[in-house]
Amino acid sequence: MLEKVRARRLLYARLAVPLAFAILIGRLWYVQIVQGPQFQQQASQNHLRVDEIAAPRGIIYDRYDQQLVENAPTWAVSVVPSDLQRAGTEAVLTRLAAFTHSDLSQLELAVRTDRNNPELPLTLLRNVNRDVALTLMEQADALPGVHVDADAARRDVDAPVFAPVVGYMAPISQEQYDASQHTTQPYPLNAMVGQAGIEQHYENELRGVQGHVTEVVDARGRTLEDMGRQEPIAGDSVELTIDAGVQRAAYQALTKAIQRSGATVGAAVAIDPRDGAVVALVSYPSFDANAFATGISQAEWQRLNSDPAHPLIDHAIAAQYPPGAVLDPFIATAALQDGAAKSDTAYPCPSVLSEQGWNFFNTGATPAGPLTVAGALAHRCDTLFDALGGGAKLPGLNLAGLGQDRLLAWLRQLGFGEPTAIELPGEASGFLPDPAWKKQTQNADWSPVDTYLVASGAGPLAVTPLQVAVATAALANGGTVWQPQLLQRIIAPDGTVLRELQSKVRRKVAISAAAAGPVLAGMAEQARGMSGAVDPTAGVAIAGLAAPAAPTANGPGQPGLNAWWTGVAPVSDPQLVVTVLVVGGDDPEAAAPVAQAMFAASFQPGQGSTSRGG
Amino acid sequence: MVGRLRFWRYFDPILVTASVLLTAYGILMVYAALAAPGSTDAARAAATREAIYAGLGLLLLLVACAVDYRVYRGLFWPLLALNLGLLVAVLLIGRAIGGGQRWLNLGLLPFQPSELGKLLVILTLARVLADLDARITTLRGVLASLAIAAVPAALVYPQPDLGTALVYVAVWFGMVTAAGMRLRHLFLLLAAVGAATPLLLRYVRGYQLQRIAAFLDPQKDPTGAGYNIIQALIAIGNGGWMGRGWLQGTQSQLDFLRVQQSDFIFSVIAEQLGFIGCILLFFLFAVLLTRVLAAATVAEDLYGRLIAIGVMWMLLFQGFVNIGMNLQVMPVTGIPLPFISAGGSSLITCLLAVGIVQSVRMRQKRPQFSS
Repeated sequence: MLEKVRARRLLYARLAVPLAFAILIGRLWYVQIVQGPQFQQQASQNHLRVDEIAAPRGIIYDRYDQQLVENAPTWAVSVVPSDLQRAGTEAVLTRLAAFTHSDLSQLELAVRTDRNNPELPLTLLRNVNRDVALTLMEQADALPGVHVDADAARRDVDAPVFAPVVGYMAPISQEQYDASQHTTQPYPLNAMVGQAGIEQHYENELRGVQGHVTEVVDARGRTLEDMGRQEPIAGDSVELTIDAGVQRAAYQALTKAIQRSGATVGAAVAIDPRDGAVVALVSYPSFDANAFATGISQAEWQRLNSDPAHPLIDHAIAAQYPPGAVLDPFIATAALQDGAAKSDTAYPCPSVLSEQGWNFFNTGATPAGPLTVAGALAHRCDTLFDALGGGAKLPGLNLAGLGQDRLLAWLRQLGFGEPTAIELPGEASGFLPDPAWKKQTQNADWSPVDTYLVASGAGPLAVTPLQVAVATAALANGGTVWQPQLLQRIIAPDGTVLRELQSKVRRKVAISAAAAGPVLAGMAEQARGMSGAVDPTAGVAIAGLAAPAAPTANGPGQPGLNAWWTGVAPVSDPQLVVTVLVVGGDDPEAAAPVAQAMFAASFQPGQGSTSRGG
Repeated sequence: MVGRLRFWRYFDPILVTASVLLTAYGILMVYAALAAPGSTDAARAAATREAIYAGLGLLLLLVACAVDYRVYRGLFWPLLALNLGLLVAVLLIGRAIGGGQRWLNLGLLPFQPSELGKLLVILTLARVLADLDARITTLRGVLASLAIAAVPAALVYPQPDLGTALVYVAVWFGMVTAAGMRLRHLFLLLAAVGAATPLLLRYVRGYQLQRIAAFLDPQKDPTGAGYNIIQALIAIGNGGWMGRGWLQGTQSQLDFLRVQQSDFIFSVIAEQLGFIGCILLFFLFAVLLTRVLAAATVAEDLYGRLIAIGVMWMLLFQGFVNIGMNLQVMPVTGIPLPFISAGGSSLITCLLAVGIVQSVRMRQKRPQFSS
C-alpha cells in the first residue's frame, strides 16, 4: 500500500520537471519574443545618449559691421534626474553645490520641481567659469548624472543702448518648446531663444542647426564611445541698418536731455527717407539685456516690470503719445497740396482759436502780423494749422481749411493709426479717431471741435515716434510712406549674402515739391532759430520742428509736457530723418539737442552722407 | 578491487556530462556578466575562481561516487552536528557580504555554510525518513521529519537568507511526500501555517514586503526596489531569438543590470545568447533532473531514493525560483541558479550532490539474472 503511494509520488515528481519548464518557457517566450521589440527599444534608450551640440548663434552687426552682440564662451551644468536618483540625488547635489559654490537648496528645489521626463537633462547652472567646469569634469566619477557642456552666453556689447533693437535671449517657454516639437528643428528643453527685438524676430535665421553626438553610456552615465556625430551649422549673421554711432549718440543725448528736463521717458528714431532703413532706434529708460541671458533674478524682473517708466517697453514703437504741434508740418503740407492754403499768401496768426467753448493756443509766443505757411512753421503759429486742419473760417481771413474728411484722410495716408510693420514685436498702432469710433464709444456725433482736437494733436489721437519719423520721411521724399526696416543683410556663415534690404513702399502719397518745399523751408528756419540746433562744423542744413504736446488737451506750457522734435537733413538732399520725444519734462525744447547730436554723429567727417546707405 | 570496480558498470555518464556542461556554461556566463568594455580583469578573475571551484567540485563528485552513500546513513549525528554547528557559527562570527551575514572565512576561501547545509539537510532528512519508514503516515512522524529541516531554516533565516530557508522547506516537502506522507497531514500543516500567518508577518522584514510590492508592480519604484526587475526584463527582451552575442549585451556589459553574475545571471544569458541559449540551458537542466530521478527510481533502498529525490527538489526549486524571479514570475529572493551563478559554495555543493546521486545510481538494485 505504502509502496504504491511512493511509486505514485515519484511519478508526480517526474511530472513536476516538465511542468516547471513549461511555465518558464512560456513566460520566456512572452518576454523575449512577444515583448522583445519593446524591450530592445528600452535597452537602446538605456545605453545610447544623444547629446545636443548647440550651434553658434549668428552675430548681429550694425550697418558698418560693428558687432552689437557676441557669444561669450561659458559652461552650463545640467543633470539627468533619473540618473541622479539612481546614484542618490542628495549626495550628488551636495557635492555639486560644493564644487560650484552654489546654494544646495536651490539646486534641490530645481530638481524637485522639474516636471519633465526625468530622462531629459535639466539645466541647473549657466555661466559656469572654466575652472569650475574643469573641476566638475575631473570629478565626473563622483558626480553621476551631472553633465558639463560648453555653452555660449549672449552678451550685448552695449546693452542698454541697443536693447530695444537687439532684444534679449531668455530660456525657452513651455509653449515655445511644445510648439517646436512638431517642427523639423525642435528645441532642446534647456534652449535659450530670442524673446524680444531682433533676437526674437530673426530667431530662425540666427539659431543655426543644432548638431548632435550619439554616445554609448554605462549605468553610471559615463561616456564609453562616440557612435556618430553631426556637427552643428552656425546661425546666419544679421546686419542691421542701425548706425551704432548714431544710436550711441542718441542714447547719450537722450539720457542727458531727460535727466536735465526732469522727464522720465524718451525715445529717438532716425530713418533714411530714401529707403526707410532705420538708422537709430532708442528708448529710455532701457535695461541690461545681459541680465536675461545670465539668468535674471526674480527681484530684478519685478523691478523691471513695476517701474512706472516701463524699461522693457520700447517707447519708440510700442508706446503712443499725443503728437501736439509736431503734426503742424503734415497739416501744412496737406493744405498746400490740396489748395486749402497758398504758399505765397500771408495769414493772420490769432493768439487763441475758439471752437465750441474749446480754446486752442500757440505753443510759442504769438508772432505779430500775418505769416505765410512757412513763416507760421518757423514762428510756431500753431493756431493757423489748427484752423487749416479744422476747416475754420478765421475772422478776417477767408480760409476753408481741410476739414474733417480731408484731414483724417491725409493723416491716415501718412501712416498714422496703423502699425508701420517694422520687424520688431510689440509695435503699437497709434490711434486716429474718426466719426465711427466716436459713435461707437461715446454714442455721439463727430463735431467740428473733434476735428480741431485732431488738428491740434491732442485728445484721443496718439502716435508713436516711429510713425512721426515715417511721415516726416514721406514729407521729405516726395510722398513715399516706407515700411521701416532694420535688416540690411542676412549673411550665411560662409559669407554668402542670403537676403538684402529691399525697401518696401507702403503707400505713395501725392506730395509735390511746391507743397513740401515751403514746409521744409519753414522747418529749416525754425531749426536755425533754435539755440544750438545747428552744428556749424557739420555744415549740414537741418529742417526741423520742436513742438511741445500736452499730455492732455487742457493747454500748453505746464510741467509734464511732451517735447517732440522731428526733422530732416540735409534740406536740399534729405538723407536722414530724426524724430525725438521726451516725455513728462518741463522743457519744451528738450528734444532738439538730441536730434542735433544724432545728426552730428551721422554726418561727422569720415562717416559722411556719401558712405551712408551702403 | 574487482568488487569495488563492479559498481562503475552502473555509472551514469549522462548525469555527469550534463553537470559538467552546466558548470562550463556557468563559467562562460560569469565571465560574460562581468566583462566591461575595455576592462576584462574582473571578469577573468571571477571566471578563474569559478574554474578552480569547478575543479574542486568535480574532484569531490568523483570521491562521492566512490564512497558508498550508505556511509552517510551511519553518520547522522555528525552530519547534523556539522550542519547546525556551522550555521550557528555563521550567526556568531560570520562575515557580512552584501548585506547578509552568510559567510565563514576558511583561509583563502569565503565559505557559505547554508549552501552545504542544503545537502546536509537532504542527507539527515533521508536518514530520519528512512528510519521512520511507514511511520511517516503518522502526524508524529511528519513533525519529527519537519524538525530536521525547520531548525536549520530557522538558523538561516536571520542571516538574513529567506531564500535558503525556503529551499530547506521545499526539499523537506519534496522528500516527505515521496516518503508517503498522508495528504491530510499536509493540509493540516498548511492550515496551521495559514492560521499563524498574522504572527509570521510580524517577523517578515520590511525589505521583504518591499520586494513583494516591487514584484507585483516594479514601475511603482522604478529606481529603487523595482529597478533590477525592470532591468532584467529589458535585458531578457533585448536578447530576442538569437541574443546580442556573447559579451555583447548592453544591459549586462554596461552595468544597467545589477548582481548580474549571481542572482540575475539568467538575464545575462537571455540577453547575450537569446531564446536559443535559454532553451539550451533548460535542456541541460531537464536532462540532469531526469537522470537524478532515474537514480531515485532504481535506488536500492528508500534512503538512496530519498537522497536523489531531495537533490532533485533542491535543484528544481532553486532553478525555478531563480529563473522565475528573472522573468518576474517569482518575487526576488536571494537564491542562486545551480551550477551557473557565481559562487563557490553553491557550485561545489551542487557537484557534490550530483556525486552522491551518482553513488546511489551506481549501487542500484542488482539485475535479477546475475549469477
